[in-house]
This record gives sequence, structure tokens and C-alpha cells, in this order.
Amino acid sequence: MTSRSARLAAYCLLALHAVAALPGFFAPYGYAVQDRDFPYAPPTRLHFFDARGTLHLVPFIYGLRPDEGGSYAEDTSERYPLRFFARGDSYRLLGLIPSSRHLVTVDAPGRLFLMGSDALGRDLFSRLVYGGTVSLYAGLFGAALALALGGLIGALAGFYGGRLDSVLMRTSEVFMALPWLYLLIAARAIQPLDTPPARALLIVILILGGFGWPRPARLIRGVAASIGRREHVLAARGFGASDLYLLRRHVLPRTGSVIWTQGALLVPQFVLAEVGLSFLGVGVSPSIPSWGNMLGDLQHFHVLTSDWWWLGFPGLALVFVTLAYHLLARGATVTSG
Amino acid sequence: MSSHLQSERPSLLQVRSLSVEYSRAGAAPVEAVREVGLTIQPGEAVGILGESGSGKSSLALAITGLLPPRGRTTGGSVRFEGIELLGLGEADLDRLRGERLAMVFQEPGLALSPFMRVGRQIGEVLRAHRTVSAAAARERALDLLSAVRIEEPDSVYHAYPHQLSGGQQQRVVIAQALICEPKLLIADEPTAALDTVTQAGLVELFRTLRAELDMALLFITHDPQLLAALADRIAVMYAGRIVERAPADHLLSAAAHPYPRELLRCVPARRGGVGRDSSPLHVIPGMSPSLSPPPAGCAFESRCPDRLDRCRSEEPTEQPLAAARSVACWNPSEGPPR
Repeated sequence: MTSRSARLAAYCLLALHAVAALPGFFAPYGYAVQDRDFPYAPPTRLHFFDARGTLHLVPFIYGLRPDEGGSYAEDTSERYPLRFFARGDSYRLLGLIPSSRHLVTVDAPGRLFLMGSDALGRDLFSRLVYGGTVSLYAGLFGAALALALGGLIGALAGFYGGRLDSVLMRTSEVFMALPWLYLLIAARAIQPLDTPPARALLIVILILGGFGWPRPARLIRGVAASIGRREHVLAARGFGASDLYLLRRHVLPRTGSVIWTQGALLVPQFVLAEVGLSFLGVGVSPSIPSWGNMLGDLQHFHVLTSDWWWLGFPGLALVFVTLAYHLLARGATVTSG
Repeated sequence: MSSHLQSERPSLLQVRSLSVEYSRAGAAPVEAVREVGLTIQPGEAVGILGESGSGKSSLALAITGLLPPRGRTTGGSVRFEGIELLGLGEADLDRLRGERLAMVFQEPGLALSPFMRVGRQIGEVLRAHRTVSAAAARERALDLLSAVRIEEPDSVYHAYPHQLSGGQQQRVVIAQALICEPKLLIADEPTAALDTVTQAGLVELFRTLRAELDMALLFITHDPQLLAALADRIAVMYAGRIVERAPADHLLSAAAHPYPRELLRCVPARRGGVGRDSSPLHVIPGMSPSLSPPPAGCAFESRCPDRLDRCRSEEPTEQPLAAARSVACWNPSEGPPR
């Protein structure tokens, strides 16, 4: 049961990360493309039946026209069928390969707002996809950095013990006691205001990883210490095994389950950390979308009262990712136990 | 090679007044090995006989540089093939261990990694020391499995340690130890965890392998009968010191020190017939002394049937007794035991 839910979670996360890795293709529009004619548009409705009741196998949308109440009404005079793998805004796949194909889009002048639009008429679904790239991979790389540091430090401390162990573990306690959120804010604050978003993201990742290592380090230290004291490690030493060999072949392979479980717990934690920072405006600046700075619009009153879709989707995405990672972590714990 | 030339060969291992102590938190350190000297000639089999806590394992660990972090050598020298091992860097020790001298531990089940197939564990010892291909290491590992008289080398090669019996596991460990054809094999109670039949098989294996490989053997045990079958010379350890050394047959038939004499009396005698021996088993009264710090006089004094007054205050020094024999006792006995 648990393993099945964990496997499902793993597949979902894999799919999600694949989407986030190729945002240009999965998003209908670029994250910065504005359409000033359609600010605050609600999610576009997909239709299968037109006004005369005819069934269309490929869903279509109608254009929008502003109505008197400051909202929008559908203009049923023209249908815009969804177009798959069609050309649209150009982007670079993985930042390298120029392309303009999109998974799904509609012909201009129709606009496809699957999750509505923001004040500048930008497609929120596209921004959510691009924001996922930032948020998910900030979490992932941050966790990878924390685990690499934690694994190295923990394995050394546990394997060698003694003074090195004391020094490393006391250092980890200092790091755990530091209020990393304030440090992050401080580190961000000393950067100039025009810090490019990519650099801001790098800083976020470095700080997440640089302050996240103590917990995995302490767990891995325990495993390494118990493996390192086993007699087969002593016996291997008696046959001429070097420290490096013992760490590589006897200690590190045994820390695998701890590393995976910790990873599955750290990633959502770090995704949330990035979201929190960007929400506060000290993470990734709003010119590049992240789930955090998208949720930052929560600070606008009208969002709460009328433009619910601004919040709903990034929030849901966040809940989904966190839940999936925790299912994965539980599965990993059960399997390794 | 003539016996004359053999005596001209330099010692393979020369241990001089080696001391080992273990530090303890908030207490005086334990002096587990006290000024022990030991010489092993190439190809020779030396047995160390002693009870638990006599320091015999610490001696072996100190020789191979494998003492746990709490333990350290506080003096003396260990020369192996002319190289001083004490103070030698870890990298140099790593090159030596497994290649020139190898060690076999008491619990074969613990000495093998439970996560690796045994064939690979044997081959990796070779690959740690020689530049050989994986295929060649595999070939050699299979040879070694046959050499240690494993019945089905191919299936054992692919087995995990837990799938093997204790005797098979110990044979695998011995194969690991021998794959580089070391000049000295140190075996620390290698048969203690095994049943008698398996034990006998392993003792036989040690005997034949030693002859085949012209390898010296330092065999550590609490069981005098094993040494009778294996060792050329025996050194008896008690409370961190060597109290007597003698050729194996001399020691087992006519020990001079009261401790080995008493120890040998503890081995139940085999007499003809079944159930006829109803005499109570012999027990040495008392316990071995604390070594933190060691007693001022002879460590065996409180348990000794032949003690003198001076035994309490003066520690006996090792005295030559006859050719290749010595004893550390103020009142050694002559002739066969009572």
C-alpha cells in the first residue's frame, strides 16, 4: 500500500519535474508576454459543443470581450480550437535549443488562459510552469547541496570519530542554532537591488544548501559510526583497505537509504523555503516568476475577494508537491526499514 | 635449504618490549600488554596461549596497527621484514597489510561485509595490492576458494556471507588473507566460534597451507590442544606479559610456570571408556588481576599454588631455562605436571 502510493508519488514528481525542466514547451506563452487587453481574465473555459450544439472532438475556446461589470464575457462569434505542437512564442529548450513549439496553444487573436491572467494580462498557467522551474529546482539543488555537504561531513565525522567528530558535530549544532531565515534575508539584503534573478536564485540555493547540511550530516554520522565500528571494516583494514576505500565501499553505500529519505524530506522543505523568501520579496524577484512571488500577490486585497485563481493554482501546486515528496519519504523509510 | 642456513635467515617478525594501554574516561588506563617480546622466523608457527583478557588479541592488533582509537602502544618496537611498523604511516601500513602480513579474526560472520558477494570480497584484497584485471582477480579468488578446500567454489563465489556456514565463512576469510601470499598470517582465535569438527578441519587447513606457502603463522588461542597440533613454539600470556615460552611439546608436557601447568589441568582429561571420569573439573581459583594499574608483584601470585613470599612484592623477570625456553617465575617447577 505504502509502496504503491510512494511509487505513484514518484511518478507524479517525475512528471512534474519534467514539465518544470521544459517550461517553454509546456507553457502556451512566455512568462513575460503581456496582453494588456485582458488583465484579470478568469480561467478560460474549454468547450466541446458550440452554440448550435455541434460536437467538436478537439476542444475549443471562445474569445473574450469585456462586459460592463469590469469582467469578461465569451464572444461566441469565433471558435479557437486548441492546437497541439503548434508554433507560438519562441524560447530556448533547456536554455540551449531554440524552438517555438508548444504543447498546446490557440491561434491569435484568441488567448488561452488556462488559469486566468494577471494584472498585466500575462498567462498565469505559463507563469506557474516557469515558476515551477525556479521553485522545484531551487529545492532540488538546495537539497542536493545540503546532502552532498551533509553526507561528506557526516561520513567523515562518524568514520574517524574523536576530535574531528566533536569539531564537526559542534559546528553542525552552531549551524542548526543559526536563524537561517534571517541570515537569508540579510544575505539577500546586502545584494544590490538590481541583482539579476538568476544570481538571486543561486544565492537562495547556496544558502539553503549551506544551512541545510547539519540534519542529514548528523543522521549519516550515526550510520557511518555504526558501520565503521563493525568488525568487517576492521577486517578489511587488516587486508590493506585504505580509509578512502572503506568510506567508498563500506560506509557510503550503507548511508544510501538515509540519504534518499532525507532528500525526499529536504526538497519540499526547501521548495517551501524558496516560496517563503520570494513571498517576502527577498528571494527571486518578480520579473521571473516563482511560486513564491506568485503567491506574493496574496498581499493584494482584490486577489482574495475576486481574483481567486491567482492564488489557487500556485497554492495547490505547492500542496501537491509537498504531499508527494512526503509520501515518497515515507515510502523510502518503510522500504529501507 | 639446510637447517644451518635456515638459522641464518633474519627474523620475519621481531617484537621488542611492546606495551599497549587502553585509555578509559575518568579512570586509570588499562595496561593490556606489558613489555612483550616475540620473534618469529620465516615459515615458523608460533602459538600464543592465554585466557580472555590476557592481552593476546591486543598484541595481535598492536602488531598490525589495528588497535581501536582508545588503545595505543606506549613503548617498544615491532619490526617486520626489517621495517619498523610502530609509527609507520597508514598508507604504508595499508600497503603491507593483506600483502605481506594478513590477519584473520575470531568471528568470520562479522569479518565479512554482509553486503558484498564473498568472491568479490576475496578478489578485492588482490586488487587492493596488485594491478590486476577484474577477470584475473576472479580467477585467483576461485583458485583460493579451492585452496581453502571449499567444496563448490563457483557457487560459494556468488554467495553472500549469510548463506554460508561458519566454517565456510572462516575459509573465505582465510582465502582473503592468503590471496596475496603473505609471509606472516596472524590468526586471532580463528576457530573459537566454530564447532569441534569444523575446528579440526581448519587446523588441518592451516597446517597444510603453511607448508604449501612457506608462510609463518602466529596463532592466538585459549585452547592448548589446538596448539599441540599447530605450533612449533608456544608463548604463554598472562595479564599482559609472556610468562613462559617453550617448544610446543615441552610446554604441553612439562610447563615450568605454574599458570600453564594449572591451565593444562583445566582441560578435561580423556580417559578410556565413557562416563568413567567423575572427578570434578579443575578450576584455577580467583580471577586474573586488574591491569589498571597492574599488581606490584607477580600477576599470578594470588592464584598460584607454588607462590613464595617475594612473589607478592617483586615481579619475576624472564629467565632462560634451557635451549629456546624461558620462564618468568620465582619458583618454576621442573618435570611433568602433577
